[in-house]
Amino acid sequence: MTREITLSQAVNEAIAEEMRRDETVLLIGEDVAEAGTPFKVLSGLVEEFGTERVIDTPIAEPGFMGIAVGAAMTGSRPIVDLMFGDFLYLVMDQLCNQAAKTHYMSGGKLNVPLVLRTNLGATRRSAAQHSQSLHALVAHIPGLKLAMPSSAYEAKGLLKAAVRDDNPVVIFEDKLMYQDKAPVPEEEYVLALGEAAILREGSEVTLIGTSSMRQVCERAAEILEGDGIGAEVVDPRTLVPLDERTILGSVRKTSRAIVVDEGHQNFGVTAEIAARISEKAFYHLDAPVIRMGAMDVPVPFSPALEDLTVPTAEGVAANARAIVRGVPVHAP
Amino acid sequence: MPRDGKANAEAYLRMYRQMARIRAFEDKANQLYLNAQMPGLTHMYSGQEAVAVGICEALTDEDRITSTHRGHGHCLAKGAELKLMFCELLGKEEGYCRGKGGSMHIADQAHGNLGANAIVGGSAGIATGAALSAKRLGRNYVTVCFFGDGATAQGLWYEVMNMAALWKLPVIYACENNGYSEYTATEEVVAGSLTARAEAFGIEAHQVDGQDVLAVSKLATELVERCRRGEGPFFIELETYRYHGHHVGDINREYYRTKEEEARWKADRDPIANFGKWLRSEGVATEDELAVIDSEIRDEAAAAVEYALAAPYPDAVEVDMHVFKGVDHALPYMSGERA
Amino acid sequence: MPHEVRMPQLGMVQDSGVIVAWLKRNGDPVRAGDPVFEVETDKATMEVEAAADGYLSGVTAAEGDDVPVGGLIAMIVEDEGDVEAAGTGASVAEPVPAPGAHAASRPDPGPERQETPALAERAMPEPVAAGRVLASPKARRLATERGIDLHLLRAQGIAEPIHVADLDAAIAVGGNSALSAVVDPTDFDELLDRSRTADRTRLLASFAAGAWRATFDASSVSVAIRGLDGSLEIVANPDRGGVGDPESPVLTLVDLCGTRIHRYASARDGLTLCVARSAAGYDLLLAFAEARLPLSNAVALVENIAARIENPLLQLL
Repeated sequence: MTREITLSQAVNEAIAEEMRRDETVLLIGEDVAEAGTPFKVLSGLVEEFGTERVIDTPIAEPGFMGIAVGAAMTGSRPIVDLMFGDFLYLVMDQLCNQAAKTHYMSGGKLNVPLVLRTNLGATRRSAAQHSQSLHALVAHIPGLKLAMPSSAYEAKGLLKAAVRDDNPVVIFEDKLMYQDKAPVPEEEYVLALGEAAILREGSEVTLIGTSSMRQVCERAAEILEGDGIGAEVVDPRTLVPLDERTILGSVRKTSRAIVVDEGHQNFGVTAEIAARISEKAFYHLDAPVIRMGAMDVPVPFSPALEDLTVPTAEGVAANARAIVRGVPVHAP
Repeated sequence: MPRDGKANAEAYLRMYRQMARIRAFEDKANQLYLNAQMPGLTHMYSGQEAVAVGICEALTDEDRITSTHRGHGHCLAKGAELKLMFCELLGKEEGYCRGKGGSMHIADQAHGNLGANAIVGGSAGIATGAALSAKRLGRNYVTVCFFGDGATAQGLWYEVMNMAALWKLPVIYACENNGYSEYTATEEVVAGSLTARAEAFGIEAHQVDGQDVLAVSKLATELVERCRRGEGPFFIELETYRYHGHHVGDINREYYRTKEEEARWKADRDPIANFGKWLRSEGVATEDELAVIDSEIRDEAAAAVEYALAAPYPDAVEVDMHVFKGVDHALPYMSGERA
Repeated sequence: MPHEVRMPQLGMVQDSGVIVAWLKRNGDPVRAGDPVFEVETDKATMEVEAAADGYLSGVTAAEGDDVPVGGLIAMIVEDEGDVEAAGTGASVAEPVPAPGAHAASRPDPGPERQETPALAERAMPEPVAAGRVLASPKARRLATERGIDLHLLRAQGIAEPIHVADLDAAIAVGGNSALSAVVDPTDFDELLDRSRTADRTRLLASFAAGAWRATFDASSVSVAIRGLDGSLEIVANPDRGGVGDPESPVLTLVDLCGTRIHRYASARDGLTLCVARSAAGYDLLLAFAEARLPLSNAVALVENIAARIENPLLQLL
């Protein structure tokens, strides 16, 4: 049986189910208890699990991140709530020098089963320090896994997988999607990390979209259908590990690819996926692989400017149309 | 622990032996480095032995520690074996971390050592988190966070002390004040007093002579017991001295401290020599008995070095192993091959 | 036990050190901690202390010598009687290799990393051949596999860069040239007789694909089979059991055996191979456009197909 719930409810359900299943799971972060975070994602959890397991911290991101790493090394399974993805910079030492490297540096003796939940996404008119999409920083660090759910269904299934994983897993949710509803089974399910989903089949171009850019790609595919162009939409779901088989299989079929992600375009996720396609499916490409990331400027406040910085369905469709028709996007 | 020689002879001789082992280990490690037989570099613990041994004497294998870049002493005091430590220092497969960590990252899970840390002050969070696990999961262990005076300049420590005090966690912050923050005298980088910093969070703070292993173990025993009763956290500042430079290659250091000062500490305040003297005066051991211990330990260290030098390096296939728990090889895994 | 005196590793980035001065002479008594010699490294001069008590012996490095880190330069012996004479300074012993300090002692980085230099070599800028046709990687690959000369497409006025769709357009130009051959049927008929399950049309498609693969060094070969009812079936790699995804077919096969019809060439199907059966044997007819399949390539292809029908063993090899 499925019902429609919001992404926020899906996350809440995933955490509650995992906390019921496993006594060692705890939730830690700023205003996670009574306040339930500014996005109200965690409302009700403290009532069920108490302040011993739903732990409000001072505003001290490096501190509670470090504490979570130590707790994870000693039998706890912390889910860390980082209120805004932009605060990732504050926890980089604990995340990248400690959590990511502990298993390797100890030759496999210690491990850090920890989930860091945070968010990404611009166009909330929150300006440059509350709008960034910084997941590429995480993807660059060996030892961290990275999930990018694009719906309530994925948010729940991937979060449950992350809690059960014995390694540090970082999950970015798009904060604009918390109220988006999607069908979610009532029965328990877990999605495997490293399995992409083909959300729509098409034969002429592959649109690869992460997080909310999956929805941008789906809207672009609808526009393209009106033009008689068949677009396939692939959602990688996790970037580390990355399901190359599904992505490359789709591109080998369509011969064309556009990679859409809300992180900055330069040196980013779109570049990495495009590079892997170019290396591994080169002889199947009938057009250059196109990257579409966030514009390489700090996120501006003014709506008139901010909306220019993120990829849109129309933009994706325009690029797809060009490469399908053999019109070079960049002059040869 | 009462200063009654006869009653505690076994414990005293154990502490003496542990301090001598640390000194012997460091002398050998220094020689390996100078002879270019050891890759990388290392930081010597010599001179600070009474701190690690005095504190770890109060701990069981269940109790946890976090350690620092100057961590060989903590590791040995917590029960590690010379042979496997030398193997790690030389990057050998049999090392504590299969050669992946080296001098600055030795972890010894079996004895509760959560690992040395090459980021100054980087383990304050880990130690506090270990204490959170103890409290939340109802386990009775205590965690000791070793760090140097240099680490007291890092912000992380203040954040986690605040939380440890708020949540009454069983953690002891043990600051080994050896007077130097890398190549700078600590008085030039520390404003006010260190104990006052902990006290500002309502944390009970103590100062102790870090060259007196009995004073250290007495205080540690008392605070560890109080931690177990839920009276933590605590802070201890241990006054001590490192005989070598910041790292093994830090030879010419007169620009930050004099040779006279070093000679004075070695002559008057050496923790091993002074404890040996006390053991003799109390009739716990004769000079000859201590000499036998010293020579046994030197032989043990020499044999451990020989063993480690001859031990094999890890196989090349290990390079992408242990990146993720439950994944044999990280490279194909990250490209989507199923584990 | 004698102690070795080696050139110490003093800096973090140091391969060798210059001996500025010996502070003790060969044979001098030394105590642990005594400065023994001065070393210059990284523009700093440092004193190196003795590690043991004894007598300095067998000094092999002279002042001014640049000695590799780890190089043996003297000994400290316990008894004065064991002191050996100083050397010339030219015979400094090889250093103990510091693990990890030399490429040779590093563990094998594995196949992924080893590829890097090769890639770098290939990435050297290739002189652009005059008249190089711009084409997508896939179009270029398919053109090679289909024996299509991209220059001929350009000459036809197809705009660059050439995409896969342009190759298909070229096929649609149709076959206005034709080659025909008559082939001895004996061995092929015997093969069909012996195998009760073999389907003639499939077998012909398989032979055509094998000939194509051999002639043009193609990795993937799809063949379209045109039925006499007008149907069109595309078979991927018929010579390899049909494994793989069907792609644009390299040619269309029309099997006329068993009918009175002798030839069929469709403008729509482009490159077309008709096979008919007459009293003389199998009649092969290849209809092609010389604009995209040069005559020499067409001849090579027909010869190869004919050879396989006359001697099916060739197909098995």
